Amino acid sequence: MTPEAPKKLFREEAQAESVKCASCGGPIALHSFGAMQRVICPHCGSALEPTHSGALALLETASRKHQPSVLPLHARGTLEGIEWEIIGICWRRCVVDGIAYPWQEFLLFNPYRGFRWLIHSNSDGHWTLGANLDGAPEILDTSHHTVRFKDRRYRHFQRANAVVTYVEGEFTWEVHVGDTAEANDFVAPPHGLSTEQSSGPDGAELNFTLQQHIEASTVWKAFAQPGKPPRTRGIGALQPNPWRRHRRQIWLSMLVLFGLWWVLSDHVAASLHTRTVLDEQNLGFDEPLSRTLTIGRTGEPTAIEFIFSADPLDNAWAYADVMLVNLATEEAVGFGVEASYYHGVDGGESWSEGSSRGAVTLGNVIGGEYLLQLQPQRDTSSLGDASIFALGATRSPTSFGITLIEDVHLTRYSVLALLVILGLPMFGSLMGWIFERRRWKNSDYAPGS
Amino acid sequence: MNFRNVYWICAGLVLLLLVFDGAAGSLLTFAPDRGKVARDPASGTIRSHGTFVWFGGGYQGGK
Repeated sequence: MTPEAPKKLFREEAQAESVKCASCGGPIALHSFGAMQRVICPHCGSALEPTHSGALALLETASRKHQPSVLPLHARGTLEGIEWEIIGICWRRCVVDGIAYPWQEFLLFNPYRGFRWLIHSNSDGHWTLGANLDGAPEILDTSHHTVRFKDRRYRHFQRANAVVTYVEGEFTWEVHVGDTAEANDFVAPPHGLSTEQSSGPDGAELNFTLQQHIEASTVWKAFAQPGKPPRTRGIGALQPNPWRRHRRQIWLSMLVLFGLWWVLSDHVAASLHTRTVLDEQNLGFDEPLSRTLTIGRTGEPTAIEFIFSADPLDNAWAYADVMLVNLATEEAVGFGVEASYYHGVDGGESWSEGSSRGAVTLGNVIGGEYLLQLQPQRDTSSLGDASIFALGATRSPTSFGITLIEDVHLTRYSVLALLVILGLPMFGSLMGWIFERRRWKNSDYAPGS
Repeated sequence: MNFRNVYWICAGLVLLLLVFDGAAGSLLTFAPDRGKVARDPASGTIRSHGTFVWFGGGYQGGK
């Protein structure tokens, strides 16, 4: 007894039927079974329609040349985990303000999933994937023409008369070159909703399509096309706004981070023990100054502020070369600090710049015993000058003062953190607004139109 | 990397900077010349030669 062959779990893959064009004799592959309403020969453009017997009857003879589309007929690709085949290609275009905006629509078919539309805009290179709407949108009574479908609101983007300019392959409706429909596009990026109204001998027809933005690289990879996809330009009508992708999370984060900033800034300020280590005034410029002093807590880093002032200072300068030597480690830091004040009248307008006081903030100064050495210098141009009390005259300094403060509060750290925490969300909002402005520039509601 | 992650990273970094360097001020302060000085064994005074050279008097400021 012959053993029975094991039962197959799945049926064989659907086989495509191949027929010849009744006009040019070119091979035509058919895939969409009973859903097909019209077949346009890809070779000559002749229109054929199925008869009751299933055979194709020549409806209209044509002799146009085949034109290459962005994706070829019968190409297969996997989008969102489903394998699709392009069974029909339809080129359409609309004219706005005398400029033609063409696009190509690819009818995708999967025997288990039905039909989808892959749409490529030739004018900006963006792609969308569409499916028939399982219902009808609700028209909302708002100032901006808006519709709602399944809790999502779509704002009207543009209205145009779409004209079919080229077709090839199988279609589920009776398509002709020259067919015109009034198309209205509504957007809720990355989703969109399109309505198309056309009139024929059987009356008016209204179609709704739900669309979604799809990246050009995803399409190209899905259909295993060589090279790179056509370059995208500008902002697509359904292109997601990257600046608004996590808008809610960013603003919530900002509130949390602001609270954290408040606590941490307070903690840092409270941990400081600000103290004036040295304060000497009315010192002469004649000799270098040398002092031994204790800065901070031994071994711990601190920030110090060194203030140098000169008196009197009028259209003159004073300067000090300062060196702080850690007596334990013999590590030294050297810096200069300047005080200069200038003023005058130029072209009838008075001006001034500088101050009689200069300050330098040093960070990471290790606490311990220090030797301070200071070499003062000054503008000597008016010393001994009898005209020093004249308006706008130069008055060279005769004395200087120094102040050294340890554990100073560096507000720049708090300010920087606050700028980042508050500034970046604001920057993101601004960029998101600019992005939307660029998107709507291509709509019927262009800013400024 | 999306903008949200960039924001979280930047905010985290500046808060860490505030906590760990806000008091010492190693990064957001003036960077002076640093070096080693030597002590004269005879007199005990600080000599400015060696790895750290204090030129002094180099200022040519003013208007």
